[in-house]
Amino acid sequence: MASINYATREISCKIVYYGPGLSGKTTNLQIIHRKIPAETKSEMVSLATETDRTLFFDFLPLDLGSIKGFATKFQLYTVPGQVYYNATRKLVLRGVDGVVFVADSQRDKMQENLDSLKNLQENLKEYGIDLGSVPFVLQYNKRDLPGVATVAELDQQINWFKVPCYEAQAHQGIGVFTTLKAIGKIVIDTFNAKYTARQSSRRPSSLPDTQSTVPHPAAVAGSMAPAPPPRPTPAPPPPAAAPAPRPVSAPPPAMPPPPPMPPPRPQQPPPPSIIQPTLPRPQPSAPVGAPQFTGFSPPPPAPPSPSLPGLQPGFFPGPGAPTHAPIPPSPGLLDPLAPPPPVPMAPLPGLTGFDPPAPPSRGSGPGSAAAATGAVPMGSDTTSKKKSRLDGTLDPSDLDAEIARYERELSEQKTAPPPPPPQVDTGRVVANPNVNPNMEGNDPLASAFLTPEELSRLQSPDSYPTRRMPLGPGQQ
Amino acid sequence: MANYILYKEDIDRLNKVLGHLLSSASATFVLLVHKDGNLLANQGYTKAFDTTALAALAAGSYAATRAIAQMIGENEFTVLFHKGHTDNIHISLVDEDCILVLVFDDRTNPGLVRLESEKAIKGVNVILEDIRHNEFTDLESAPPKSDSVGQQMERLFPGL
Repeated sequence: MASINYATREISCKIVYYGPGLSGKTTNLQIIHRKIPAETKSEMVSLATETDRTLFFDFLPLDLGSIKGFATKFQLYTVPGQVYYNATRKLVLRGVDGVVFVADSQRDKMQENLDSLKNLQENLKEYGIDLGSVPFVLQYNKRDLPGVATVAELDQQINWFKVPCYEAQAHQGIGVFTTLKAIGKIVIDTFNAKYTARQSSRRPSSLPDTQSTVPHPAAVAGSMAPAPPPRPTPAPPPPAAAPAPRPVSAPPPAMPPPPPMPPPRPQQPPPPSIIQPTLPRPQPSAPVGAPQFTGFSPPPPAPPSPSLPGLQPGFFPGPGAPTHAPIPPSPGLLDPLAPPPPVPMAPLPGLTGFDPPAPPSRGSGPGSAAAATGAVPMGSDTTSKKKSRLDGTLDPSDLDAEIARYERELSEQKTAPPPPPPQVDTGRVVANPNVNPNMEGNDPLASAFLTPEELSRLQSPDSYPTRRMPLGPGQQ
Repeated sequence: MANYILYKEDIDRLNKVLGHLLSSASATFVLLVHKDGNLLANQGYTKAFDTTALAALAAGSYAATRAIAQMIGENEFTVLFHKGHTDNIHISLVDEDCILVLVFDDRTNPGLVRLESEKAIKGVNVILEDIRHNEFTDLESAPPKSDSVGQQMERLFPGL
């Protein structure tokens, strides 16, 4: 990318030295760097391996000085030539204004020259640049080695675009500056041509037409200096043929086929500079804890199961069962957030005439309910202000006293004769003598598990209780 | 071959923004670099550094990390930070063509540098957008011709 800075009166162009590995690209830059006058010399940057093979690129800024008031600068780059550094070569080629292809003149390096040239063409295509439209010169290096191909052969093999070619012996400095001058002129000519074309397209009709007196850059180059031959449009070459010596009068050999065009680079959308939240803030649509499902029509309510009275339908949906609206808590289920309901007291065996106290009411003393019903309060501690554990309102600090009272009553029960089955009101749980009496008999669900037949069977002397089976409602 | 045409007004505007960034972030110097390696503008203490080479290397470094980013599924990294013993470099993406290189030492901290860089990038983006629409306007200040370049090269490399 050539830049012209009118503020600092500076023109900057980028020239890349391309070619196969060990062809002499870095040597070209080193020679140039060595010959630059001290007053304008800049440091050359070389990113190379320990064996002096270019790893990333070499960079040499070349300041040609002021020309017509403009400081003209060339930024010279080289690329790593080894095959597996293709990604790096691609990066360095970005914004290139001119290319110098340094070819190895040795015959056994011809294929590498061809591969590198094809690679150059492919990499430029990725930037949308046609090699035929970029200022481009060829340098046939290592002309001093034995077994080098002739210039004609090299032209035939790699000079597809008929660009200027220069022989060189880079390690001795021969041909290096000739090549540099040539590419510099072509780059500036191309830059000027673009500048002139822009001016002619923008020129208003009222102003004197000076553009007609400005010659075409190619003609200018032709008149002032040996112009390079016109670059024809590269025709599709015929299939590749084996390189073989031919007589002079024979037609030119078949050109190797051009490499397949790489697919165009997909256009990446530019990253947003400011990321705006696009999702609306989610609004809670249901209370926490309730299952929320959409898109399902609620199934018809299943009939209650007769084998399990009291169990609410759909409480335990099977896998894959459709969801439904929140289920209201059943009377049998306890709300975990609600205070525990008062537990009805189960009359213990041996305690006849005992009715569980009524739920405490405001303003009534702890013993008022018992006195109202006429029942003998449990325990002899008539002065106790605490509620019994059985109704769920026991003060934890009186737990020990409650346990002691209970054990005392149990011992009294053992000494007393077995009482007849007491009359049980509906809904009350009666302890079964075959059941462990230490277990609480106040399970609200206890009455829901037995049928009358099961209960009578359990109450027979030879029954073997496997679980606590209190009587059902309305049963003895 | 795309061209960047910078006029004095553009450079003044860029220098103003970069100067403000320099003072607010307490940085040593700041460079505005094109991804091709060209240095577009700079502010701060740059005499001790080869800013041309630094710009080329920063662009190359950014290009290399961009290739790494694409390997892991990202388009490119918007911020790069290199920490040294005394001096550090903060490289941030300005737009699709340019990067901002900020060199600072222990007088400031990376968070402040990043914060101020983000603010400055917005201003630089506006200026760069104007620069892209710049055209050649002054025929009298036309760039040099190739014959002049050849003569200058002859002067620079006599006999070569």
